[in-house]
Amino acid sequence: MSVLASYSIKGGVGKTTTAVNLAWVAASRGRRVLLWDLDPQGAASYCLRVAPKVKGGAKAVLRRDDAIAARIKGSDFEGLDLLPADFSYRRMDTLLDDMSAPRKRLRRVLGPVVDDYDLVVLDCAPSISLTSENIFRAATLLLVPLLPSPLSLRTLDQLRRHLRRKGPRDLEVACFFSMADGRKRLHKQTVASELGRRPGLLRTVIPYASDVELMSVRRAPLPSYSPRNPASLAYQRLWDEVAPLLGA
Amino acid sequence: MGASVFMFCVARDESVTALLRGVEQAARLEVDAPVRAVRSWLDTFDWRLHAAGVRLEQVVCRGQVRVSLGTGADVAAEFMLDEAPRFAADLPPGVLRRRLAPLLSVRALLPRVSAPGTLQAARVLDARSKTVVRVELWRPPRRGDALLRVLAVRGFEDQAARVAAALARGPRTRSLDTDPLADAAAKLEVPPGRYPSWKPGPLDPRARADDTVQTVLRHYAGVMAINLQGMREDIDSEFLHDFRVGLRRSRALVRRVPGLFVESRLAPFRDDLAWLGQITGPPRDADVHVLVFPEYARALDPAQAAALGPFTDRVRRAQVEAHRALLAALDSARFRRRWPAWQRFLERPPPRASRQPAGPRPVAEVAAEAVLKAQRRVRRHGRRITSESPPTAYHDLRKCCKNLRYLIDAFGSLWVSKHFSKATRRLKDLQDVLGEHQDLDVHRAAIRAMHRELVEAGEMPPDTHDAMTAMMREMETREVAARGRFAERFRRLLELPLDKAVQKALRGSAR
Repeated sequence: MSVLASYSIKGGVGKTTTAVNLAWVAASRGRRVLLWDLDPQGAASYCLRVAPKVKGGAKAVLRRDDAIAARIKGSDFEGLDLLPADFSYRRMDTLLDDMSAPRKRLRRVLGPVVDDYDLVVLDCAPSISLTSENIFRAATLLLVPLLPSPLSLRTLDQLRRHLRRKGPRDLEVACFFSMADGRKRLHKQTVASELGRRPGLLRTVIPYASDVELMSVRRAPLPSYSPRNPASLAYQRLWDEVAPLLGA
Repeated sequence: MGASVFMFCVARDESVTALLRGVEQAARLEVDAPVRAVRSWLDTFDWRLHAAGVRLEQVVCRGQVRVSLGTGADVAAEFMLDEAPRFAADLPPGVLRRRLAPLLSVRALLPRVSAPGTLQAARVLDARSKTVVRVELWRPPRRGDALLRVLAVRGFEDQAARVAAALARGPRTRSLDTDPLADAAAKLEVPPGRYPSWKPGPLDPRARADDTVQTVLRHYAGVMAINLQGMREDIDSEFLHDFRVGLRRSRALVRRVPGLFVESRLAPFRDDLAWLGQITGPPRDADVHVLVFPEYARALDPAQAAALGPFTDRVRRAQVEAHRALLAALDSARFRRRWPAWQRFLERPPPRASRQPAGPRPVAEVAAEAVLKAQRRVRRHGRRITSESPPTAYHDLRKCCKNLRYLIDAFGSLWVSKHFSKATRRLKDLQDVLGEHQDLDVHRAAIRAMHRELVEAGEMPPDTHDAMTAMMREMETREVAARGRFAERFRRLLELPLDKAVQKALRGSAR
């Protein structure tokens, strides 16, 4: 089982959109996928029409090794299941801090479903915290969406510096440009100057599309209702680039 | 991670909406238009998935393939595939392949039973418009009742159970305990769990030897017959393999248990069986080459393995040609005439007043003599082998071991004892080493021959030559290692002679 974490220190870069759409693409290509909505805002759960609530909350999920299997919900799409968000996830750092081996807890709770899924996609909340340390240790690949702007690239550099100092050595990090607006000169210039030059930057660029925003209205992954949309096709290409990095 | 499936029989003119009206309070129903679809159970010809308690259902609808992996009435996981899978390698990497590949091995997945019809899918939605129960109404193409299936969504099992309970209480549905596909499967020539074993049923030690051997030969001919069509169609390599196993076992009995049948009647069949061995040998060798040469190539570094392209193409071409030749032989007048004649010969009981020396004797005596004689041959050949012996000596010993093993399998039920089982295990251990040794030797020879052909045809790039040479060198190393293990395995077999167990059985049959 591989674990893909859609992660960024910054908010509003398209983490949830990436997590939901890539999870759907992987499932549509015959993989068994579990999407774990770790963001207390519960946007991924909302997109898949599941109540952002977990029995017993974060405490139950983290304290018992066999807790998650009974809390998983089937989505409306074959091959894609969801472990919903819960508002109590906002206290995850505090809960983890009270536990033994607090940096490896997420990896441990995923243990019982290793044989059931090919891929776990983590939709992470924007932060750098004890929960993030857990994500770094649970993930096979950290996938970082970037807005094509200097500020976003600066945040990526910060993350890489942090991982060099404190991250697990075997964690692979890949990034890609997301929400690239062809009408904005800055976006075009940033993409042109970085593609093929920055290590770990994938070639796929997800274009800005109003249809992506409609995901929260349609409450479904974009490629499921608009398969020919340029952004849908870009997510398919993104999966093609990501799958070999995951060994999936 | 199972989700349940509930099944009902309903009149074909029922509508999903009418059936589900009012069954789930405050729920919304979404109903699709009916579409043509085919529902099948996928399994191997010999029901390997069924034997492992696994059910694989496939629904093909509008060019989409949905495969559900489950056990009993539970669906463990569903997968969307681009194409119907045929071999383990066609399955997407991950859960499905990981679970099925060890069960399938080289066998093809076949739609063992199928039910075409129209599928009308419906969903029970909750207040968030989330699907909490899936419903399928399957109508057969022309007449007959429809099948209504209620499928639970993971995490929402209670809702499915409530819908199913309400349907079960209704006057227009009849609960089904078994899937109609299971009824269809039970009517197949080879139903689930009924692929015949090579060991015939229990034998009566006091029965006539000719009757008993004929029964065993008839059993083998039956297994060969059910594999004929798959062998012709080249569905997977196991059809031909099983046909040949039946053939070798039949030949072993005919040759190693003499004096049962009138020689003038048996002799032509002995020739026919030998001929069948000749026509099925090359295609089986070609199948094995396709299966095992990639395994040998794994010992090479990836760049060398990639250079084997022209060789791999040659191996595949040879397999196609060999199969074509097999088809021609199976279509020949000789096969069309003599195979049914062999089956007829096995159906007709031997004459009661047989003048054959062994025919009327108790089978336990005749079989014991044959087994002990075969054991003596194994010991004699084995003792002659030294580390300097040529590969043919090992090959001859392997054939002796196979004959002994086939006799033991045929008559083993006469000698049930721990000692006997232990001796059989040791024989198997020896056969493993001899098999590995011989395979490596003959495969190396085959690769050498193909190497020569490619050179002569001018189709041998230098890197392919290097890769094939490296592969043969690696195989030679393994062959030497297998030879090194022989002496110990043979010594262990000698420690456990079969005589004691066989004598015991003879005493039993005399009572």
